Amino acid sequence: MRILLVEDDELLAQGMITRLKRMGYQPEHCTTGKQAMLAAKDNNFALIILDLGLPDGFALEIIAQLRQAAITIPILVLTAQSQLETKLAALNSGADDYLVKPIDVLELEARIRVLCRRQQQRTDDRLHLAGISLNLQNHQCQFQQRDVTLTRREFMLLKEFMLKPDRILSRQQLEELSYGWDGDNESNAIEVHIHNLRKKLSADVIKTVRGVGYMLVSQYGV
Amino acid sequence: MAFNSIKFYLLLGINLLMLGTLSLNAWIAYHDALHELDEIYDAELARSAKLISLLLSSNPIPQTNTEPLVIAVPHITEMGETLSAQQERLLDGHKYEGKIAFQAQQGDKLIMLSENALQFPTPQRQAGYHEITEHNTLWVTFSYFVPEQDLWIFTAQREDIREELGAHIAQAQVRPILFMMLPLSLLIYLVIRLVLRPLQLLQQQVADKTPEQLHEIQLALPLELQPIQSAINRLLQRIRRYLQQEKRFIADASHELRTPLSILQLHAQNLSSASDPAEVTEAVNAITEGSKRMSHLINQLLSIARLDHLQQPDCTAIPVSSLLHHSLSQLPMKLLDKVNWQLELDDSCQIYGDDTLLQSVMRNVLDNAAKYSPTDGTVKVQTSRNNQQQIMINIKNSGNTTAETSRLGNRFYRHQQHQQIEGAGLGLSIVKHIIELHSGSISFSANSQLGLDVLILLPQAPQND
Repeated sequence: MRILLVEDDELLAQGMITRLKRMGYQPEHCTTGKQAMLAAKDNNFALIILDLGLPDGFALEIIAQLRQAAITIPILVLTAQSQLETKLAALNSGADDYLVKPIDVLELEARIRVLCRRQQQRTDDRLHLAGISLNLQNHQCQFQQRDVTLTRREFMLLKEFMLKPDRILSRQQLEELSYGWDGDNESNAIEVHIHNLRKKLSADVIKTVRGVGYMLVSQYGV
Repeated sequence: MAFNSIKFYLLLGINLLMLGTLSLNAWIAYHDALHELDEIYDAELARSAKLISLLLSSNPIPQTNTEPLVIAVPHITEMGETLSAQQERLLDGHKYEGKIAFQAQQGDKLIMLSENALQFPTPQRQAGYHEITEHNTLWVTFSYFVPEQDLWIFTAQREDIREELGAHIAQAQVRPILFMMLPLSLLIYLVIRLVLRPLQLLQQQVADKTPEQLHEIQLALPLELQPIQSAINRLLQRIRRYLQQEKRFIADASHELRTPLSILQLHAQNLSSASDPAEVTEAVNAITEGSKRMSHLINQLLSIARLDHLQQPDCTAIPVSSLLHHSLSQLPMKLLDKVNWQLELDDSCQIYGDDTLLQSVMRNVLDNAAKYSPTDGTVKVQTSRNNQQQIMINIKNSGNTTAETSRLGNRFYRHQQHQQIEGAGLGLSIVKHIIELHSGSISFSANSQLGLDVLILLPQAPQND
């Protein structure tokens, strides 16, 4: 799951990126509203975390512009501004949530999950499919009532497959999802991770669609 | 009613004045009446004496009479002033007859007297008016001498009837005014209340003010209260502006503190769950950097708070060149080496100001000049006398941005392209404040090298010739 982080303070952004990665998300960082607009239009993000005090202007306009461009990605505003008027303005122009700095990462993590859950029209953070059960909150995974230990990247990939079952995900998509813009496109890391997932679960769960990508078969084993 | 009040003093003053005027009026009326009565009665005394003398001349009492002829006086009981003048006019005389007496002497012999003059001491044989006392009663007498008959006529009248009449006349004048006194006082009280009503309204309006409700007072007040109203409004405006400033400052400061605080919290939480050494190092470095930023910000905020309370700087004469050299020597080595410094200092210039405060000004401005200048750029510092009163310090750097000069010096303002350079946006605001405390000025203008010209004017030290 990719998250766009728009924050101009380098130190803060650095900490957020570390944290988001550890939470099993793939954050992409940009520092200005202009970059954020371009990134949001061209990429498939699950969430935007937006600071309001950006160097190239007030981010409220960016929210409105994104919504005008029919981009429905949930927007979480994370800002130092605590005035009610700013909160109202941000929520009214299309933001989905508003958090005031300083934030507790546990709350941030919970709110990110809530926003994604709502976007994906789920009622809880447990995914059940093809005999696999994946807890998005504590990253625990069971396959046929057996505990499976996943690495961070394996978790990220499996989550994507389970959120989009029976749909082909291209290699490039998967690379972006787990490595982001800085990913090494030449490596065969994705193949390695999928190989490992198949080994930990079942060889038939993730099907290779030759020349296109991979697909999770929901009806597996039925 | 409080004693120390305008209302009380007005009431007391007007009432006393009224009472005083009335008393004076009564006193004057009494004395005037007394004087007129004196004249009338004196004339009457004289006329009576002459009448008696004529009577005695035309109808002399026989010399054979050894006893003087005593004329009886009707005894009419004194009933005070309860009867009307008409009722007092009795058939056989008037009660006041007892208050008029006379004696007539021919040669040495008393030939005739009124009954009430029996006890009189021997009157003075000297023509004219006299006063005698008989039984504690003062009488005014008139002695009249008819030389042809060797006849002395003495007429006398009790003094107190004059006084009584005078008092009556004065009373008659004063009484109606005295009766009016109470309703008049009441009316005066009402008028004063009415006149002072706007003052009360104004007082109420001022009393109702709270820090949240500092709107101007707009009352239709009398001319005398208008300057007070506008003075209060000016004060309210100043308080409002001050409160706004404070509020904005607190909002800005808390806003500015939130970001470094977030950095600390986030990285601390990352640290507690870090799994590899690289993550630990990253978090520790970020926490160190974040706390440095925060302490810098807090220091700046504290110096602003201190400056806000400082009214008068501790001024001495400071040579500009030593001030600048001293300030330069306090800059970090890194900045000193970053740019080429060109100093053109006039050694004779002396500033009148607070050494510590001005050093922090210069340090700040020079620090900024170097910080926002590209590496190996030039910072030029010139000093000169602007005029008799002021010293001019001009600091120019070369740069790479066009500054928004109008917003420089505003608290927390930072140029958007400088967000990567460390700073909170408080330094120049402190500088501006200190210079204003010295009644100097600071102005900024963009120069042709894409840098900034900073022009500081400070008061010149008085010269000892």
